[in-house]
Amino acid sequence: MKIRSFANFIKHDKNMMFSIILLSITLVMILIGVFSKYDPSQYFLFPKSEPPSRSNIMGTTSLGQDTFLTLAKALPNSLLIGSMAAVISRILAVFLGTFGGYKGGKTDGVISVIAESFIVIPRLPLLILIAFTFKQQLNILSMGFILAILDWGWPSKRYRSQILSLKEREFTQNAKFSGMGDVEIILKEFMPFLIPYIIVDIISGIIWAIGMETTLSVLGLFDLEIPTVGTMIYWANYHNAIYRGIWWWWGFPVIFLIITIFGLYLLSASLQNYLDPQTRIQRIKVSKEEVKE
Amino acid sequence: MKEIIKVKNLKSYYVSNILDKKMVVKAVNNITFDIYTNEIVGIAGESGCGKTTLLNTLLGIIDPPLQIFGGEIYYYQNEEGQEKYINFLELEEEEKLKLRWKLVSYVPQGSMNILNPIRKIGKIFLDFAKSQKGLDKNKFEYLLNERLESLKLPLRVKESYSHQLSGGMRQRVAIALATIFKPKIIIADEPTTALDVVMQRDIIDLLSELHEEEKNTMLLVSHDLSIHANICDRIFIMYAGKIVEIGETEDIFKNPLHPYTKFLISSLPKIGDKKIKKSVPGKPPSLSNLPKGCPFHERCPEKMDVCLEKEPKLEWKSNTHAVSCFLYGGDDIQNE
Amino acid sequence: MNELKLKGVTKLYKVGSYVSRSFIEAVKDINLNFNLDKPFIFTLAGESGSGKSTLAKLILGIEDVTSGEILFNKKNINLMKKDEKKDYLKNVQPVFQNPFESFNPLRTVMSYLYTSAIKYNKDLNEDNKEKINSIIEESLERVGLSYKEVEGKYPNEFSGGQLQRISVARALIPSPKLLIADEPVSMVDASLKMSIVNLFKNLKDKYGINIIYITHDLATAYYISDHIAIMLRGQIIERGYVENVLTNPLHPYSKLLKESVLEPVPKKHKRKKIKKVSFEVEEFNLPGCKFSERCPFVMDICKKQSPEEIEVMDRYVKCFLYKKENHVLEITQ
Repeated sequence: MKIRSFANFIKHDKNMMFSIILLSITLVMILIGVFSKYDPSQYFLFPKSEPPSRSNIMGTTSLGQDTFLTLAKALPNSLLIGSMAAVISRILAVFLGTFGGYKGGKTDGVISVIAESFIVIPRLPLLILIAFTFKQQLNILSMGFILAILDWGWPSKRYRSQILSLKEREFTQNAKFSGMGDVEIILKEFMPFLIPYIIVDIISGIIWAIGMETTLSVLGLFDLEIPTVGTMIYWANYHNAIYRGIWWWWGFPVIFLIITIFGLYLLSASLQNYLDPQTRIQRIKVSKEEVKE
Repeated sequence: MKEIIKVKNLKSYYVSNILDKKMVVKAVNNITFDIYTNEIVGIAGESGCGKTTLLNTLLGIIDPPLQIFGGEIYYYQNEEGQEKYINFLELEEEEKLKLRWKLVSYVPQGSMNILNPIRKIGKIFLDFAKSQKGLDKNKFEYLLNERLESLKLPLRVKESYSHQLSGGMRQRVAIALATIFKPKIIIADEPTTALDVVMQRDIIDLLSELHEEEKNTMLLVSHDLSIHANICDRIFIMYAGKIVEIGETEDIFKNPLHPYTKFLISSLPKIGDKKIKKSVPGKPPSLSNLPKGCPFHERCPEKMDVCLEKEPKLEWKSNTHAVSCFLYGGDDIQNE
Repeated sequence: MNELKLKGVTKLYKVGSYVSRSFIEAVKDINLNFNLDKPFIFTLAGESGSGKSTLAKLILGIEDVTSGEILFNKKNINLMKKDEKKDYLKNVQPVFQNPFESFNPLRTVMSYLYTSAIKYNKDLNEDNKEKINSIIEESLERVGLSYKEVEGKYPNEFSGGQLQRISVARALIPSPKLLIADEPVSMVDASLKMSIVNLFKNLKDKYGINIIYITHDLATAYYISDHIAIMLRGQIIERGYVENVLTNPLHPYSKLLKESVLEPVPKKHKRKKIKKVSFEVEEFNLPGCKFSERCPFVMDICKKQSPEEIEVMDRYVKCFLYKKENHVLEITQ
């Protein structure tokens, strides 16, 4: 019944349909990148700065790389960093926010203060500072971690406030008198409310992290040997691609960045609607009516 | 006595479309009645029987997914000696609003909770006044003080916030807000729900006094017949979107006709009475999936064969008492 | 013998900011003894703000007392260790006011029944499905429902009356000695109220379950309870057998409550004016009797001192109108 209602939903929601179209494009690129044996660090494999043609459908870069295949390698890296950052930060946020909110008192006070200090930090300047200092040691993993640590503060506050309000609801008391322990209550009673937020939140976290990494890379503050959408744009800039009219070198990465981010955004918008507790309750009602007839 | 509201064959349904499934909730299902000047009418019915939708329709609050599927509402207006009945549903939105402001005041359910928690009470009233164009501030201040006094609220209420007042006081403030321009019709939706026994009595006394002083018309909706017993002149019993009985309060209590009414009356507890009381058995039908025939037949202890097939019409058994039930003979509704 | 004793139970709430703090005595100096071996229905009645719900929370252990003790079989419930507390919860179960809030709208109601069955029966685990189902079935039968009717359904598929019954069924699964029902019918339609009230009556008569019934509805209180205690701003001002207290109330506040009840008898034109309403917080902070602002029989002493509880006739009352001398009743005015 759940799968059927989801399928129904996809049919009807325009946001979801567009997002599936856009993200499929991204997915295809990623798959090509994952399975391709092309090595973008091999410069001058192809003639330099050639416009798109039949042999190189997105042209070539001034370093003699095939733009299409390089992008296919770059996109998954950007997405990987974004996903790592988002997932790790939300795990931290859910855990700390929930724990603090549920326990209350001093524990909550301490965790709140820590979260607030992370919120107040000016992130981009700090990132620039870190990246500048550790430029050579930065890689995909460390970038993911650093972004994660900078992005858990605000979400944790949101989960905390959700928990605070859920804690006061009468069914929480009922659960306690049914014999449920604290952890059980959080997992079984509260999580169904939080999960919609978490899913949507992770997507927005991915968007932020990709944006951040791209910004840093464009400024040259990442390991520039690692292909990401950002580093591609950096190299294109470095070689004055805009002035020299080598539009395909920075153009295609930008287009695919936009496709990916917009696709993710539409996905989060439509999921937000689908997973909202009120509409879920409505759907339960309607699907039960269906069964009756 | 003149009719001040006339309702004819009113049908308003909720139509919604979720996941390709069309759901039609027949909340107001072919209702006809008249309300006269200077009377208090009670509409009694369970949750989900359509009472609030009926009120919303009468007030012209018809937002999707609510739609009118038929029927007419007439309001009586006497302006500068000219009397006329206005066909409410045919007015434009703006005209509907204007008419409402002039004639009708609405005290919605849980109205004590609609007071803005971060504005002082006096300011809330002022906000309201500003929405009425061309109102003299001093005159309004005078009206306000007069109203507060007549509702037995101390004037310093104006300087308080809503959370500083008790539930009963908030309800009074809500009523003051709704009746400050002395409307001819007051519609109150569950005015005593969520109040304790002292506050309930308080509000009922208050509404009673208001009625006596200003000779207005009141329409009270409540699921609790004890409330109706103590203030209403006439009672309409509503069930599954239909009106199944109309009568004067005394008649309804001493001589209820419809089996549903009989259940309602006999289930009311009283101090000093330890006799066993029973609720209405079963549960009301889903308004989106009404059974064939009389909507009450599934719970009715006196059902007959015809009740499963045909729907009874609301018929007058005396000047003041009407019932829709085959036990008293009568026709059935021709289905459209 | 199983007993629940309340000794001098007081609960204070802090009001205001760090700059100007004051206290509200939500519950003051409550002394009650309950013998849990003789089935009873005890009503705690009063307006909102009387402290009855707070007292319920204290007895259930949801909140701790500020001073005084609540003793269950001679053990203080606020000092109990984890497993002692769990044992207490097994014996004292709640039924809350709002049936739609008592259940998580995103979970089936069966999940609560299931959890209660497993948690309160030590030798049961997930494998004994049959035994668990039979426990649930038995409990549902007691409230007039069947397993089939409840299986796999979410809260919004039931009416308020049905949900409240399921709430009671859930509370009965641990086989509690005491059921605390906090305004269990105030959010249920008048037409369905009596089925729940009758259910409580049945639980006591047929299954010997003790019930503390909290309400502001004196008519249903009269209908099912044996004893009644009337609360005003945190204190019990009159208590005794329900027939006595409600047919012939002594305390002026009890009289007010009784007069306020809207009888289901058509009588539109007989109206006695009730005195003005007052600001709630102010009444709490009155020195002396909390009813002095509204009392038609108020005397000077009422505004200065708080009356002690005395035994008068067949009940206990806290009011300066009554004096007890040499065990003989004397009414002064």
